Amino acid sequence: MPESGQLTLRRGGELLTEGDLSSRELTEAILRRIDETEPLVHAYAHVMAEQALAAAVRADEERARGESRGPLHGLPFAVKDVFWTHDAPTEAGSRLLRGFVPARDARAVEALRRGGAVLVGKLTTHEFCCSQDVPTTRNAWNVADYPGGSSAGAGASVAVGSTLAALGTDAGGSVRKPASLNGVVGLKPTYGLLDMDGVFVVAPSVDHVGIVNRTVEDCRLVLAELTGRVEPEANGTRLQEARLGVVRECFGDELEPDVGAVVSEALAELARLGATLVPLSLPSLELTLPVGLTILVAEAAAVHHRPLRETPEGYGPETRRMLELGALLPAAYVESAQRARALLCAEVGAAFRDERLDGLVTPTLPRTSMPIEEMVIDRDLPRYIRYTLPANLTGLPALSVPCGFTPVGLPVGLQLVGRTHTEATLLALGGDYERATPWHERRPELATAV
Amino acid sequence: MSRSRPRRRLTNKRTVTTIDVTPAEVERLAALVGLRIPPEDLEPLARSLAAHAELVNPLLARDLSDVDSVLRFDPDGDA
Repeated sequence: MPESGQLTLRRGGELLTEGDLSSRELTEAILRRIDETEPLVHAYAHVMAEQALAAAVRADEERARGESRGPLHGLPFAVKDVFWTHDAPTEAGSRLLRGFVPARDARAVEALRRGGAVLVGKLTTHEFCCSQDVPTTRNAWNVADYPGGSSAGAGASVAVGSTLAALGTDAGGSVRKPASLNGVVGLKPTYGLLDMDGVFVVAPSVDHVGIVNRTVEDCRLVLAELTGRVEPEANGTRLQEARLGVVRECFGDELEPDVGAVVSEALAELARLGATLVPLSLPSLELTLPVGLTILVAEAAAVHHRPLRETPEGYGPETRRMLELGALLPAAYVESAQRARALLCAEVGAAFRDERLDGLVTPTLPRTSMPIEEMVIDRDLPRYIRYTLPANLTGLPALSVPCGFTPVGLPVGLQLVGRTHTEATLLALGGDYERATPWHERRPELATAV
Repeated sequence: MSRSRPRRRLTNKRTVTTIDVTPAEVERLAALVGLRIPPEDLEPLARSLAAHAELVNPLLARDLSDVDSVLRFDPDGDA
């Protein structure tokens, strides 16, 4: 069996189907991997060893009887600790929820378990996904560094091989950011495509269930299980016939030169592979941060209104202050933000139509990871989400794929943004790029050396 | 709360908007929406409110009066 640090979901499925590996053996290997890597990356809030082994044994018994539940049958996955699970606590990184065990699974967890996937544990998050506290999780490529958030554990665990797939949530980039910073693939589908029932939401109008994997192909497998719809890659527009808008506003002064150099090379590779790159400007993106941060904090405050009134001491001080800020914002700010958001949606829609685009392409983030000790949340968080937040505001699907490394060896992500409900095209474009480049194959030392 | 508590003054030259937020004002606003703000949060929250007001100034400076705030996530693929 390959080391779990190198294994993909697709390859794991093949090994199970061919009888070269049992689900129990694979699950045991993943649990060993968790034991080995957790002291360094702290990606898990709860490890569900007993439940996972029982599910793996059931999957093996079903396979032995000739029953197959689908491509994820017997394969391990983990979820951010905001997805309800009936057999393990769901605490969302919060003292208020300590020991909370819901009566049922979140719909997304239910869907993957129904497909025979084996839940191995719950992954760390910032308190209620608010990204205001410093997480215990560490970056897979440098354990002194920020792993991205709020799906911090999702990015780190997939990168070090302590799971083969992870579900997270993304209200401003919380799946794509940890994916980019940990050198793995992150997908935020179209708004509303994946059911958020049974998920603790931070801001309802911008929040999404998202997927983190090693490869684009693995993302497709998980998305198919969650939607119940298999979209073959051939259904999407391929890279050699694609028109991709290169958004000028995502290559400004805030872009770190090392990241810019890697992304420029990635754009050149897209062109070499046959894509037509169309330079364009989306002036409303200048308002991304005032619009996005206003909507995020106002909606989060509304979601938490009651516990914030009744048990404010149950929140960490940074999260509480963010929620209090949201509760005090004037309605005029929120209404202006909604109008500017509508303007952005219209502007992006017009660009897709007028330029006959199949997608937009940007750096996922303007910068790589940074030492956690140097982080100042108020200053650094907005800098990170500047390019990811627009897809939350417009509801468009967005995919982050590894596209290279800086000279100091930190991974960089390339973001592809598609039209509404064109995940098939987005995954086809990302898959074509991935097959032509080696970046997804490079694993952090932690994935091989521990 | 005394008026002598620190005031945070921000001026946006483009819109000539001045925003003053004091901890005492934060406390009064919070009481109106039913929040009990711990005393240690008043000063940082006054700073955050002033900073957010500065952040949204470019947004407020835009004439968005003819923009309909109803969102259209076009299901037909037109974004």
